[in-house]
Amino acid sequence: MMELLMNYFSYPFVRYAFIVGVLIALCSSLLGVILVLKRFSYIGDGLSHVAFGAMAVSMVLGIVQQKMFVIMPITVIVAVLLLRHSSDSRLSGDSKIAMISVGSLAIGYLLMNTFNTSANISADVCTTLFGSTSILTLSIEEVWLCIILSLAVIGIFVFLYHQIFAITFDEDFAKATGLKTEFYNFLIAVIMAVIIVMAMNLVGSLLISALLIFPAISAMQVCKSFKMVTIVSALISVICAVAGLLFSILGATPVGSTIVATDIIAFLIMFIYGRMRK
Amino acid sequence: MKKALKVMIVLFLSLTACGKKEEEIQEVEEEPVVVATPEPEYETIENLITENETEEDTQEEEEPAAEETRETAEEERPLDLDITFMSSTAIYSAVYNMIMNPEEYVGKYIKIKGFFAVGESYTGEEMYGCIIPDATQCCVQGIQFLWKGDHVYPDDYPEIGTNIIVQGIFAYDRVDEYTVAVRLEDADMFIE
Repeated sequence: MMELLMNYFSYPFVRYAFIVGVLIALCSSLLGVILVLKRFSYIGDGLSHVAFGAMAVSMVLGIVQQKMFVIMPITVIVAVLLLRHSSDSRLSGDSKIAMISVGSLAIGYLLMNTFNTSANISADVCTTLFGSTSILTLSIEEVWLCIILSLAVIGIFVFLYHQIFAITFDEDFAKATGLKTEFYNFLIAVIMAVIIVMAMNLVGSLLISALLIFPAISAMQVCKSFKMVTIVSALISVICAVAGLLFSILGATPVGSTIVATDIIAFLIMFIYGRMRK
Repeated sequence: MKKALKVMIVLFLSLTACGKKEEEIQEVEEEPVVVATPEPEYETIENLITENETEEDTQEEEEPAAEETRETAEEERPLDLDITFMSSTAIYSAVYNMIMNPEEYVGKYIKIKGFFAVGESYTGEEMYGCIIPDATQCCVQGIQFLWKGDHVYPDDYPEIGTNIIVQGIFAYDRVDEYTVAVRLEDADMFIE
């Protein structure tokens, strides 16, 4: 078995997949804790659909190699709009997410079909929505981009840990103490968009929410403090990503869904363990 | 005895049929389309592969002779790259990388496995290829091979969809800025 694994790891694309997989899993787990605690669990799903729609736009425009320059700004803008509090809005937060989510998915699919530049639409949709093998077909440039963005996200989380903690639990109190909550919400929105766009490579658009939510809620089954939830969530996310990648490569299963399946198993284990401890 | 598979897999250029490099596909679409005359039960790659799996026993009977020939071929020239130990997910990705970075593999003696298919090259000639689907079987990659020796299609070739192993020297043509046609030259082909 070890020899087989060593053989696999002698190929750059396998090493790239594990590097990027671990980094994305780590970043998404950090963000996931914030989203779950702020009750924004479904925002990730909505934004991933926006990213899919943006990718369809970039394909229609013929921007393939630099598609990140189309997907990233669109996703960031929508993330900022979704997280912005507007008391006079006629639309509630969950309605906005639902509308944007299904709207983007429908428009994206419509664009891909109407202005198809590819011979195989089903393959495009399959690989984009479910991330069948995209993590195993990364270029070195994409790996470096992912490393830089991941380090930026981790750095922001570490250096602004106390501020993020404050606005996660009680935004009004944080504002009263003089914290620039609008700025930090903007920052969270940007980080969220960046992670979602990166995670599209790992698990595909439809499965990103699982990567954000499962590790956080798994950790919450056994941990009480914000710090411990964050640490355990990161551990679970990375272990599940590595296990899922290994299983999919060795067992010839689709990468994205295999990683999510390991996340589900981890949640069930933590859930049972949490109930047994009570 | 295998059933005659009437599916003609469309093999163009690099045989890439996935969504990651859309420009390549776009170029492909401008080429004349290869005829597909599918029988209902073999319309999809899944059916093609399922059919192969049911015929593994038949193929295994042929294996000892094929194994000897394969070993002889490898003794003549040691392999630079053997990806036959990999799962289909990983083989798909490895071939994808060959197609994306063909210059890194030129002249290397490479061994791959997949299933046999016939198609039409970008020059309009009939060509024979080794096709590798991904795990979800919605995307396929493939490499054309030029079987060394005198072989006549269909008499000397296996049925379309047969699991095969191909080893040969990697070469490619750059058709345009985004499109490459990859192949294994001076190749040996064995039924898996």
